[in-house]
Amino acid sequence: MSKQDLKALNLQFDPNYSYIYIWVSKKTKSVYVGQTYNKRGAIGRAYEHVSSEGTLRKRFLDVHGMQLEQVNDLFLLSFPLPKEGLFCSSESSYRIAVEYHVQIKLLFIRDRVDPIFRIISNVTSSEYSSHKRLQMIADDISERFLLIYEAL
Amino acid sequence: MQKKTLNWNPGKVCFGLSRIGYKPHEAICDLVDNSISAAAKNIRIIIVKENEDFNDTRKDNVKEYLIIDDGSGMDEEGILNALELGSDDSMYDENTLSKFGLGLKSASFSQGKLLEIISSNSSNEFKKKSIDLEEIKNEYFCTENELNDEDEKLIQDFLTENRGTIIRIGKIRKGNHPSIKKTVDELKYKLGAIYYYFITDDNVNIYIENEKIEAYDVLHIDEAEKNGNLNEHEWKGTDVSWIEKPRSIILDSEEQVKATIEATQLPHPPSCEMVKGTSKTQFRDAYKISAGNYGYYVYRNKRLISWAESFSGIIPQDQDFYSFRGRILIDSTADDCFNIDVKKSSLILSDEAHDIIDDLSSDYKRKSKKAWNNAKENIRNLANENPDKKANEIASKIILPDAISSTSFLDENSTKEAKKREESLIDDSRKIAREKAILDKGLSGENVESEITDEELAVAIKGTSEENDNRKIFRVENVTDGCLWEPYYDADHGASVRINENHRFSKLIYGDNSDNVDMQIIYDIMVLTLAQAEILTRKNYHDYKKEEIERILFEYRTIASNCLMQLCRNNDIILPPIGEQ
Repeated sequence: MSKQDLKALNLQFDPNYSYIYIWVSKKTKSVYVGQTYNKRGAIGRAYEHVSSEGTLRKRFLDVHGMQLEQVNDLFLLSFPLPKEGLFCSSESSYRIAVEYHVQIKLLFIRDRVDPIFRIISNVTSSEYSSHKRLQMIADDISERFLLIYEAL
Repeated sequence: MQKKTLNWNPGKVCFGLSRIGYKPHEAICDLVDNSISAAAKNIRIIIVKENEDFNDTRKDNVKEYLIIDDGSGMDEEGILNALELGSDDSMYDENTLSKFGLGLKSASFSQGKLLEIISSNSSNEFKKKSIDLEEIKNEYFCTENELNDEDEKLIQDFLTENRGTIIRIGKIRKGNHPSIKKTVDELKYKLGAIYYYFITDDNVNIYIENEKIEAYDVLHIDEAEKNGNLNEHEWKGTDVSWIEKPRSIILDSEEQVKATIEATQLPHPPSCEMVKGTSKTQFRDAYKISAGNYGYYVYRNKRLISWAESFSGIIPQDQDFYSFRGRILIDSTADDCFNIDVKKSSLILSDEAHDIIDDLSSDYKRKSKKAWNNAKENIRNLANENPDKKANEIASKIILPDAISSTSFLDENSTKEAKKREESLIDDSRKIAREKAILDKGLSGENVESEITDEELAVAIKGTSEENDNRKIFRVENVTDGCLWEPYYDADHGASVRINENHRFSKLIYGDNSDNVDMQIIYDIMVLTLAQAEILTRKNYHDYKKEEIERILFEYRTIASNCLMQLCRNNDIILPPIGEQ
């Protein structure tokens, strides 16, 4: 794991950052991509996901017919976005654009890893999805994720 | 467990097969598939009239359909196998267009009660066998017949190497059977697209009577290659551009189903008419731009199986998507995953494949719609209905006051301070423009400013490289921190504004109310005035330090932008256009 990724782990509580987070379970070959700017950091968003109405829980049920508690290798990876007003505000369109590109990029490069995972989150494009810089940020996150996935 | 063999009723089974629901052109295409599987280089479709005196538009006037190919042909055993229900799997290679071994029978019986096969593989003479449904009751059988004069003539005319197959469908069902013209028109419209890859890559020739069918690329990728990627903000509507160049993707991780996906944006016919002078009808015809033709074209083993597929609403019914064309190429490995039916005309995606195509389509649709609307706006501009232009005309006549308070700038120190703050404003604006240009170009690192051209800088400031320097209102893709507006100040433009057209409130005005030109003009003028008020305050309000004023104004602008954004997000509030909710 790189220093960058270790730093990312330490920042998961930091409310001054926004994040692209990725839930991953290698045994169920599942990946869930999301974005957040939460006053309790990525961990705060994680709580919402694992609660009884959380989308992560629902997707696991829909796709695998499993309760989250039955998944014993679920990891949460958080990738902080640049500490700028673009990403750290209630306007989510920029974060959504990065989230979108991360998911799409992973769809195209997942055949590089074994086992090939299924992405169980749903994303939509935003008006900033053509922005080159956001695409570059997303590409970087995706590549780093693949390295971590292989190491899991 | 005891087994008991059950009877089956051939007559009823064949009747059921005949009711699968083929239209004549679909049935003919299934038979053409067999010709291609037999490595035919020339395939001819002939429709014989019942009554020669009747016009081609007359219904119920088909005597027989003939499909003649110069493929590998069949010996007697091959013909018998072809006539059996559910042909042997070993007949099909992995790239086959066939799937269930039923296509020949179901396609033929759907149109007529008589199916004849005349075939030779060159190592034997031509054999003729037929099935007449009127005779099929409790036994499924075929009869061998002698070739007649008509058969001999067809062989002589089209199968000169003594090899190939003639399929004849006779005793055509009456009772609203489509006219010859309708069937021929459908075939001419679609065959070139359905067999595009066979015609171009494999040099297969397909004829309807004597007319050769030209290959038709529904995506027009030759043109897209020349024009490059779609820039949805600047597309003028006259060219084909790439939305997604061909990319390989796994559509189902469990079954390891691979596909290639690509997409283009076809021209906007009214734009072509205005710019190129050719009628928009001609463009519509040439590019097949109409309802029923936009969406995804799915090719299985190089053969089109789904025309303008919407995938249950992933591509919604919306005129703004008329120019969108997507193509998905799959092979036989996708059959089980996608539930491809006997007619090979529809497919049902697996959940994962559906989600993936839905996710990809999100950006394709956004770009396509934005580009289409951009083209529409461009036409309005050309027709002089441009609200942006009108707003700037009004703005050029606005004279800003020099002062905002009665006392703060009367003395020499105040005037000097105002001058200093004005220079700071110019520097800040220039800095923001440079930073944006660097970001837009994807540059990073130090000393990259020299890589920015004047044109790129102009685009960063004004949102366009057009030289039109009387403007004060610039509609741009984004501003610092996603605010709704940002003041801009330089010596050329004076106190101006950059309006974020992608802010939700701007989208409400420019998008949802795009037909309301007056509203857009007033909006632009109002936002310009807000920006000018900020500039005046920064220049002339000296009761606080420059940095404090700048910070407070920035915070105010950020909060105001967020409030307006939240307003748009509130589902309980209905904003104009009221009548269209």
